[in-house]
Amino acid sequence: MSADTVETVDHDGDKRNPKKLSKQELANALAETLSRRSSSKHDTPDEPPASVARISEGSRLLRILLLGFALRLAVLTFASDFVARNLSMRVELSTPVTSYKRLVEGLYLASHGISPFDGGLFHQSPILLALFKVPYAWLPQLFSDAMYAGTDVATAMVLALIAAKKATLPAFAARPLVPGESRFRCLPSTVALLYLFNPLTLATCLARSSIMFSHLATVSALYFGIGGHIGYASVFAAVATHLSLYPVMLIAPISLMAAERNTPSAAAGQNQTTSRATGIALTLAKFAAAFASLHLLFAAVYGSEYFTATLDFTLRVSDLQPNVGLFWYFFIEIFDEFRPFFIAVFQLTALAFTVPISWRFRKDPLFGSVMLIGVISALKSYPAWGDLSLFLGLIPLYEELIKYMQYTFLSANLILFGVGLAPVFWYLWIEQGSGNANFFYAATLVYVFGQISLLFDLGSAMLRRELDIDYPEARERTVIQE
Amino acid sequence: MRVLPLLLCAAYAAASAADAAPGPGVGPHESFAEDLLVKPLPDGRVLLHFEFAFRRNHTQHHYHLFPRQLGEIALRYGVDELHLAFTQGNWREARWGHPPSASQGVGADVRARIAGTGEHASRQWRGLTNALSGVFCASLNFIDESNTALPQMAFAEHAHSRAPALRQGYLPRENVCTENLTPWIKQLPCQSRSGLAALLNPYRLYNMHFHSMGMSLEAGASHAGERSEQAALRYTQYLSVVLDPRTMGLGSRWSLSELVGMPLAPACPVADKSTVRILAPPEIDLGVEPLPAEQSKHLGMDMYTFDLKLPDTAASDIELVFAAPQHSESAAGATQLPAVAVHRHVTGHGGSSGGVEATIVNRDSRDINITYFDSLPWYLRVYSHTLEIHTYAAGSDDDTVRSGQATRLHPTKMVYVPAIDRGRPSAMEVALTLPRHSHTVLRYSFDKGFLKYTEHPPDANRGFNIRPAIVSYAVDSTLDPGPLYCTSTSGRSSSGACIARVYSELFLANLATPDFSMPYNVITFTCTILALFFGRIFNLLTRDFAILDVEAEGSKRTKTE
Repeated sequence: MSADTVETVDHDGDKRNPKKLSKQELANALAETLSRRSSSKHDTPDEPPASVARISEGSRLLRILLLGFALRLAVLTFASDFVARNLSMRVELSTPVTSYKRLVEGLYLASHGISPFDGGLFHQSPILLALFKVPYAWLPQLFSDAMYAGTDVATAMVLALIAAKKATLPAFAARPLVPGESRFRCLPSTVALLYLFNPLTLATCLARSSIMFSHLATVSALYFGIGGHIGYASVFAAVATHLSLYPVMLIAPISLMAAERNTPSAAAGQNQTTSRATGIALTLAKFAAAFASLHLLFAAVYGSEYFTATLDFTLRVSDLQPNVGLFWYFFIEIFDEFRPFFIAVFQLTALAFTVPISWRFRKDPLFGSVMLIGVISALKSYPAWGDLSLFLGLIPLYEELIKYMQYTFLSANLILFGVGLAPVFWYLWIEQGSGNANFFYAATLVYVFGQISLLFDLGSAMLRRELDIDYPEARERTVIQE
Repeated sequence: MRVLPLLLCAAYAAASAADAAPGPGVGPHESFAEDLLVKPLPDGRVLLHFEFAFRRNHTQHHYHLFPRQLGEIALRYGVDELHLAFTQGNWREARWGHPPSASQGVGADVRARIAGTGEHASRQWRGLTNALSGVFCASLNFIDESNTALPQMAFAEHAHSRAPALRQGYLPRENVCTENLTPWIKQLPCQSRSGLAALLNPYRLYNMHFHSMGMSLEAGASHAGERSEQAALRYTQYLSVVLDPRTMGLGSRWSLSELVGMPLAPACPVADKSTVRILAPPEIDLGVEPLPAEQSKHLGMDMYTFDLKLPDTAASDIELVFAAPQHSESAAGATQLPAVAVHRHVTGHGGSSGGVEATIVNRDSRDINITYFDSLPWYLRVYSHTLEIHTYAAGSDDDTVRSGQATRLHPTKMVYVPAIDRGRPSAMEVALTLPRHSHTVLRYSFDKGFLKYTEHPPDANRGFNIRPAIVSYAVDSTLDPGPLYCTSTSGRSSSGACIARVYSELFLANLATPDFSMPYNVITFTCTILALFFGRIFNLLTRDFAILDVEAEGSKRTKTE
């Protein structure tokens, strides 16, 4: 066993069951991360003092977040024409359920006493109407721009917190490493950096896509989930579900997180099963209560038609505006009599894997969540580049899997081609008229295939690494799948 | 108004008796008048406006002159008011002045007030359009909820407080043809055998610049001041056509029968009135032979009225002699132009978004209150928050030139009904006060929707015709004589002011099309990706990694956790 592993075991002794993590502890975790990183890099016993690392890591994160915020706000303010011309209406960024222009229309209708849900244009959550009611009516544009930029930055920050907290989780801290591996290379601030300055994230934020609010709620739910605050996690998951429906899938891994938290490590087998089941049931009940109370609140304000216009609309896919997903062209071209059947098939393909994937990766529910977010990004009915950006933003959390991934070149190329070709083919089809719908469709197929390839690669990398951890000798032997 | 169904119900009951013994009982309770108005236009073309007016009191319950088909339809579907117009060609108000009828938008325009509310009225409306479709051999059966607007302000002048909502269905792509004309003529008591209807020669009527054919059915007090129980049923059929005599080889002297290619027939025997009126605008030096007994001034123009009931006029033909050589296009500006004109254009390019720009011109020297009504189909997703109204002072007579500073104009009232996908069109009604001598521009943007491949019409790349916008305003008769229909009683609203309506042009919306030959390919490709996803994830879920133990004679040894 290497020195790294010994160190890990020590660390486990300290924080076997961190029920609650205070800010101080979090800072410690951040510092620890950095110290580990430096130790692995130099591989020397003389580490820099922890206090120095803490300051530099914290300030690095702060600088990244501030820079991200300033960049976004500056572009939104000073290049608003450019944004309006090139980004706002881009179908790869804004879908009928996230478009900013539609949100403004909804706010406009609501401010004139017309129900925004009594029409075919507005399909976003009442949460957003409430959030933007005051900024739209009274405050300058700068304020709502700051809300968008702030939401994105907050998402990056929560990702960094997740990265920091992941180090302290028993699922990681208790697991030995593969020989020769260091525990962390990817700093929380790097996780934030990779999310915040991913061009897809940046473009999504500049297009003012409301998917970012859903992202913030989603990552917050995960953060509270792994931290053991199941009540908050359920509420955030319910909010995310109201914002974009598909995060409902995440309640499965979150309830597994709860089950894990609920299980005292020393409990007997029978006792353990019962407490796990209790934890899962309790999480589901909390989620259902949060979702239902939000639903009742919105139904009281906007009538039940809000549901038809938002979540039901997302399920039924009645607006066939192109996006980077599989649904639009299929449901433009499908024969009418098969439409309901295929809508059910497509939606179930995404939703049905919730429980199997969560269960498969039950040892690490956070990884199950990442996989599910990847499934959502590839197979939701109104996907956009913003959905992929969250999935890509979560992958650095599992930096240890990167070297286990076999098809990164293929996946990266497929995604890059998909992302690069979509605007070109859109231009050829819609603006120039020299291409047709098949061009854009082909780009979306490549894009979705790239995501599926990445998803599969990530999942099998996890399983392969688990094997290496359990049987370190597997690295010298032939490994097969059976 | 619930009088009409009751009245027609009684009429229906008595109808069989009336049909069995059609006596000469055209009493004072039922009347029929036919009229042809000939108006040479400043640019050398000629407007012919045929009007066949039926009027009956509800005290007489049988169908004698009144078209039974329509009476029964109105009865069955609880119709209080019905207007139907088929139009082809744009009415060029800048050359020709006021249009002859209130509906002049290209396509088929159906408006009705149907008793009842909610789902019942919607069903009645669908039934009505289907029935009318059968009667007039038109595709009116394609009018359903998705292209029916319920304007609240634009057609409000006929409505009394308890009137049911007006529904307007519009088919902008509807062509008008002889197959619509034949059933239209069939509604007339003499059909085309005698009277003015004998002049309706399809060969000439459809070789035209503008053609509008319609009917309107209204119940209401026939004269102001009459008691309500003596309410009458008014039914009018009209046909307006603008012909160019030059294209028919007619010079400065031609007769009416030469123009329409049919001899002038004697008046319809059951008609109370049968007149041909020739209206000569002051800028046209027109002689009429023979000179009729009756000459008068109408709307500031010389009017020659021929009574076809008189035996001497019935036999002869009417000749029009133009003193000056045929007028060139440049003389167009001389005629008195309507106070308000509207033009609407589509802006933007590409298949994903666009905008509407409507210019409303006020040529009058007074401020005018207007109502702008525009209804776009659901697949043009209107962003009402982008509506901007600017007004410019008019620099010259040219409608296209704008000068002066743009000022923002705020609507005095606005009603906006958002569209529902495949459910209803959007409807925007804006009440504005146009400053005198101004151009007012309304702009708003829309996104173009993407349709299922079955929802595209044949020849999908041509695009969709989008129905015209309608501007309504009250004509001040002290200054502007107003359109022709204002001088007949049917055009008057209850308050006495005549509401003129101006229709804009259609526009063509090009929607992005899918590849219509692709359904099978798309189904297979997409399902392949989906199957790939399913297979890979299923693989991930069900298969474990295991170490191959080569030492034990190639047999595998699984190591599971």
